[in-house]
Amino acid sequence: MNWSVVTDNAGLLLEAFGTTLWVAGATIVLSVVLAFPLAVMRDGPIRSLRIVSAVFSWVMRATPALTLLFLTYFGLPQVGIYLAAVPAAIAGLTLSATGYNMEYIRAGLRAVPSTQYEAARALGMPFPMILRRVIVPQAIRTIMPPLTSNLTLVMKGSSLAGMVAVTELTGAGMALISRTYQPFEILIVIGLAYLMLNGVLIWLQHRVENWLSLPGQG
Amino acid sequence: MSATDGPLLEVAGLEKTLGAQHVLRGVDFAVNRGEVLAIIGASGSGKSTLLRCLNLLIRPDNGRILWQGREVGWVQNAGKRMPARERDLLGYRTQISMVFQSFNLFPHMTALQNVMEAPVMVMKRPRDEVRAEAEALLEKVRLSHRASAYPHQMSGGEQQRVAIARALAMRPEALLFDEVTSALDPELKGEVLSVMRDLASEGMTMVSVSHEMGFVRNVADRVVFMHKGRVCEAGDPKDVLANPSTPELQAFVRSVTD
Repeated sequence: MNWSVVTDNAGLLLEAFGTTLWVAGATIVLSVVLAFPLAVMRDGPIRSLRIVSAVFSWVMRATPALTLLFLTYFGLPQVGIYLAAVPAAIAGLTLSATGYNMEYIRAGLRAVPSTQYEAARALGMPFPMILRRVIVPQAIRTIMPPLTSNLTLVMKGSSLAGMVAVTELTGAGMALISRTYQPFEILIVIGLAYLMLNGVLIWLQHRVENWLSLPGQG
Repeated sequence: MSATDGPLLEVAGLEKTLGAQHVLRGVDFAVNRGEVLAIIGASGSGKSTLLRCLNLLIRPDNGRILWQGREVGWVQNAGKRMPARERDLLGYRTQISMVFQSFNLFPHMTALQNVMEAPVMVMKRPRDEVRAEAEALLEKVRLSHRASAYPHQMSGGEQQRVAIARALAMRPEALLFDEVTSALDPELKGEVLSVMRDLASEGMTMVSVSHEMGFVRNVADRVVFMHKGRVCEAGDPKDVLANPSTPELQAFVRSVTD
């Protein structure tokens, strides 16, 4: 093994690492934030919103993430919207991730017994307050494990951004490999980088779960 | 200003169909201020649905609900009678609190937080004032020592008493009880019933669906016997239960005393 290929290109790899962090981080935050209202709409009282979010979920999950990415990068300019590569990649990856996130969130919201809604309504709470004060704090425990699991997939899936001229970790690594013919060292370094990024994500999940746990309930 | 001479709550011709079931087929009765009304009847007779119609957790299909002489649940819109919007019912619900068979405390909140939640969040009252009142309510239901316990750490009887304190925290004009002792072990029913007896003696208006015949006989001022979605018999519980005039109530009384 010859690690000089890594040390010589440390600057390039670090920059790519930063890009991956930025693209994946933005996608994770945006897709969770967008998925919450969509999950609520999906089972909410308003029929038209139920249909809109059902169609969104279906399209975003049934279409390959790469197709969505190409649509935001190559497709949007056709209708006069020009995004730089990184924002276009974040947009495409966010659409895909949101479709999945909303289903995990929805499952968690449905797992809260309907008697909790009833008790809150009987106390005169309006629907948004019921969600915020009663349902979401209970649902979040159910939501966290599968949602985080999906977010680790989103983290790794950010490598698709390399297909639309974003120099992120995987793309940069591939370019480096084809120039140096030293795949092993480069792939190990890239693998460790993803391992670390997702390690942080899983660590955060445990922190949140500990914070939410009730005394004597594990 | 409210009419003080008429009944506090009055229902007339209440009807509800749930799915294929015609659950309520025209229910009429009235509750006076300070009165304890017990609703009895076999399961499936429409008692719980009726109770949920009273605070409009379930919207009746037909009929009228008068609260202090004013109709609730319906509005006149351009000469047409329309169901009121959910948000226009919230104020009414704070005046007529409900206690459930399965307690339905919020599991992520302590006993004290459960009691404080609605006064602080719904009624926007100052937290310090509410805390003092909530502590007093927990003392009233003899649970001061459990203020910081979570529901899963409490017995069913304790949870139900917290639920009563939570309902009282809204300073309601009336309380609805939906078979509140049915989910409790026999030795825990007594502590909940004694809290309800205290409330009755303080003059709280109560409508209670109950299978506790001792409570109905000794605490209720009036009893309503429901059968197949209608009021089959009503009156003073001592008379009505001792001398049921309809064969339906005779059969029911036999079945609960055996």
